[in-house]
Amino acid sequence: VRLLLDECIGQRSLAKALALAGHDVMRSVDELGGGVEDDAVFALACGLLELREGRCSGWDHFYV
Amino acid sequence: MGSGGDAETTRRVLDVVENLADRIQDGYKLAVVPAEDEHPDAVPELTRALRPESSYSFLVQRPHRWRKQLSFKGRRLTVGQFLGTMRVEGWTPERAAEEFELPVEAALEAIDYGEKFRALIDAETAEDARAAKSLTRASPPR
Repeated sequence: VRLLLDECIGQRSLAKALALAGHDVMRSVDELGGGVEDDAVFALACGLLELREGRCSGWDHFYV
Repeated sequence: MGSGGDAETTRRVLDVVENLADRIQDGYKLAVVPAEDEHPDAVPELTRALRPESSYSFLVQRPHRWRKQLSFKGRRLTVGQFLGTMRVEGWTPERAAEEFELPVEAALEAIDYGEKFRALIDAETAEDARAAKSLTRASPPR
């Protein structure tokens, strides 16, 4: 599963455990730095993948 | 002021008023100066209640539609999110700080703030849960 973890659930052990379980994990804080606005995180998710029918597709779960 | 309940709040408000009245009776008058002014705060309890971030180094108010609790400076992480995770995981402040890549002093400030504003944090946690449930119903996971 592809997972984008927002900063509020970006604790190291969670990201590590999910990665060890075979998931494709990305932390917003690693990509954008800390303290960015919601829109920046959405833009990261949507910018990485095609935006289809007004929704981000390709991410199985997207937590903000 | 804070989350000590109505009786505690009333007692503290009366303490503030009594303190001010004592000063006036001693020949002082009240003046309002910018927060950066070097004069000591006449009613620090009130300042802490209205601008709690003024007494913390690592916590700030982040603009939000309804959320009032403080967040960590330069982070997308509220005190409630931090303390909630810390509690669920059973982490020490040191471990929690390491997990979220924060100074231990920031974790200790969050714990202090969490104790003083527990009612606010609990209410906002409940609202977060309600909003998440509502979103899940509107757009269930595939």
